[in-house]
Amino acid sequence: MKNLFYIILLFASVNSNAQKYITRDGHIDFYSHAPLEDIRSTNDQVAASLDIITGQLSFAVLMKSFEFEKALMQQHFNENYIESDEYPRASFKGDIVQLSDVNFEKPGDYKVRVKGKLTLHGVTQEIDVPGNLKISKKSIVAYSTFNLKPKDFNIKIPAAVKNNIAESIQVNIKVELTP
Amino acid sequence: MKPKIKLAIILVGIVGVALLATGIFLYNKPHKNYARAKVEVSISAGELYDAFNKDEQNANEKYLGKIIAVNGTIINKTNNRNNSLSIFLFDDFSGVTCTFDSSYVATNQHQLQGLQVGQQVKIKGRCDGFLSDVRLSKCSIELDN
Repeated sequence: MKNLFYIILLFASVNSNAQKYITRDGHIDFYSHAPLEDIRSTNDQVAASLDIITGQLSFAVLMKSFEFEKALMQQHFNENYIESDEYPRASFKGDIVQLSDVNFEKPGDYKVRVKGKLTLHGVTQEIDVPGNLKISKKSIVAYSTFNLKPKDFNIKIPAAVKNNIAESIQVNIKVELTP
Repeated sequence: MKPKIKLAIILVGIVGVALLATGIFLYNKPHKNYARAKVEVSISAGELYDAFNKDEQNANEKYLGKIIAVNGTIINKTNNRNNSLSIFLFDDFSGVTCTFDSSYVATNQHQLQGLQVGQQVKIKGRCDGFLSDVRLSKCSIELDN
């Protein structure tokens, strides 16, 4: 009886390890299109995880790891807008809605919906965005494109640069997750 | 035109050009050369991880954004998707992750390939903060061990 208990425990621990897919070098980029200026930035050090049993999806990213072509822009982003000394990290914790629509055993590109809490610049907002899960034998690629408004996260854009920074920023996320 | 007014116009013109030049210079200012940056903090990987793990706010005040020379044992080494390279010190997941840009990797292939798991190393980089591990970006190998 004791042996049966230990065998069940062993299977439980093995299964729980196989259900979490993670990455440490996921990709996020954002794009702001405004009359006077286009701004692009990339971050390739995103930590993300997906639990394929519960559908729980989360990611965390350090603001100082966002790269800009122009050093001055990167400085302004950190010091004036995102205030990364006070709020060094942005994170998301949510779920794949209707997880049962996804067959993790069958390779393919599945359209999904993701709902959860996004914390940026110290402000937490509920977001509900479309995304994709591309399932193959070697990995799950989760990707999505959605828009965020700086003002929703208390990010102050001075009137002087209103034509340099968009009111709605396009965010692209692409993370390749492996068990 | 009165000479005084002419002089005033010339002076305003010079100041104007100077301001414009400064603006253009600043706008196009180059990124910091992290390989040549001066080390602000020298610390072991274990100590750095513990500092963030125990009191993140305190550790952020001390280390966030600073150029840190961290020494430790290489636990793991991986090539990332964008051709950058990450070396993990102290622990694989709960330690210090040092990431070398793809440009640094390209010009220091031989040196980086030579680094082995288990080896002691000193790495310099900018501290970007703490996820579940301490993250150092813009890393370079410090040779004066």
